[in-house]
Amino acid sequence: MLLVAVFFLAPLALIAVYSLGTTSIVTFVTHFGWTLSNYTSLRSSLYLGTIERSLLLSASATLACAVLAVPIAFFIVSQRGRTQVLLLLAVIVPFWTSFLIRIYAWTNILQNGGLLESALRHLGLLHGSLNVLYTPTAIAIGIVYGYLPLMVLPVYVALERLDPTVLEAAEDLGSHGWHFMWRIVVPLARPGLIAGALLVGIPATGEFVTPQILGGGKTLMLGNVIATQFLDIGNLSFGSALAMCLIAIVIVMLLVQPLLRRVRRT
Amino acid sequence: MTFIRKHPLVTLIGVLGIVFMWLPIFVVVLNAMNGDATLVTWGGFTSRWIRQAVSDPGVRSGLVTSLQVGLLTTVVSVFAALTGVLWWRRATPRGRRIFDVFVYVRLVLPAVVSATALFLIFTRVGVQLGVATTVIGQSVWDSAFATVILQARVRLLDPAVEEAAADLGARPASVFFRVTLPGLLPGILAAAVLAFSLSFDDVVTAFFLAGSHVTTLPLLIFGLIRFNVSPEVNAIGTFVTVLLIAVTFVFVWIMGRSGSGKRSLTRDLGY
Repeated sequence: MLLVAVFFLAPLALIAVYSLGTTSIVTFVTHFGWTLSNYTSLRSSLYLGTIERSLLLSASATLACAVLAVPIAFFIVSQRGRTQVLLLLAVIVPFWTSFLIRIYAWTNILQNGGLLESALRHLGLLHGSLNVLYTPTAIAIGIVYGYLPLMVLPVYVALERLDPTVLEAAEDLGSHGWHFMWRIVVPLARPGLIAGALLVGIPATGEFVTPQILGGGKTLMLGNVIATQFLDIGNLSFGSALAMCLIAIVIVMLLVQPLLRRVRRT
Repeated sequence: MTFIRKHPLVTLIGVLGIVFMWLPIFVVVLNAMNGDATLVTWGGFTSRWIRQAVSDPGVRSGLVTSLQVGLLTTVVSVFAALTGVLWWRRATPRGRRIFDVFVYVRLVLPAVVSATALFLIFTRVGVQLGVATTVIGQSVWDSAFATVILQARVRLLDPAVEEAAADLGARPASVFFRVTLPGLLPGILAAAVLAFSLSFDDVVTAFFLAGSHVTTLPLLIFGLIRFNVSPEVNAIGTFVTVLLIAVTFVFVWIMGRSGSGKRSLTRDLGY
């Protein structure tokens, strides 16, 4: 507990203090004070754009993960015992290999002349070059890929606890296809989807590695801007204000979660 | 639930989804042995990149640093988690709640935030950035994961056994080392494996806290790939992937022996 206090709470408190001070980027001396100037400069279009982009990328990646996770989890649940464990391992094992390498792998696939481009060419879907690497789309693909298991696992757990007779009853009553997925499976998977949305959405918003590699350092997210402020520019107090902003976003996401659960119940 | 009529589209997305998860890993492994240096087409098998990676002094020192940092982080994380969980076990409900919140917050907060926070405090106090600071930074996060695993394990431990040992005249130290600790051992091993693999994969914390003289393997890879695709990176990546998959199987094996089946697997991963 003491360790937590010293190495976790104290630094966080220091971030809050720094964010209210000002750092001279010439002398790197920080003057502590009670100024909101760092927060007002967050309003400049450059930083607002970054925050907006982080939220947008994170939200769309989370949504894509959810759309993919429901059929994948349902597919796994509908298998027999042994196959089910094997498929579950097939989801977990890649997640445990290096995140960095898995993201890097996509540069091999997405680059011009790479695997995706030639596959699309063979299918006759593409004639020019792909030009997707180092764009926001590439970052979104990377985030979806990187965090998909974190959505599949909670959805799986939610579906696995289900009473099979409920699904059987729905089938007997004539629910098939899209109706069955949308009206029966998705509502039942909802607790897993909410948990997964947090597990994916929160780290995705603060993502640092993916935009560096698949965005080529051109499309920046909040995590990258914080790193630049701290390590390259040396404006510690402005960097702290950005970090506080990220903390605030995380807190809002955590607060929204119980609301979501309640809305559905009524 | 095999009786449910499976929609063909569900099966298709399910299969494609699992292929999607493995495809990039196969691409890295294949490209590590690709004779075509531009990696655009398959240029036949070569061991050139693997040999190049193995003989690269940068890779070697990166690996040694990563192993050092990983082992130290594992020891620190597991020790912190173990003492924490033992305290949590005897704590009041209120104390338990506060403890759980601390663990939860560390799990959800993006690594960028805790890394910058530590960066501030270390530079403020004037601590030289290096192996020690990286270990501390990674332990903040990894120990939270280790704690979750140990909590799951400690719930299975029946206090009556320890009380029986004490009643039969065992001293507190002997109860701890001969009853409590062996009971927790699978959890401790699993937590250690998890902490090591998290540390071995960490970029963000090391990026902020390793300073300019210490380079872990992920930092080295990160530096190499920021702007280009290189065959050597695929070779290093293959090595790291094989190592981490081996570590994962050790984890699953421990879990399989201690708990049982998929239920405990998903629970111990924190769901």
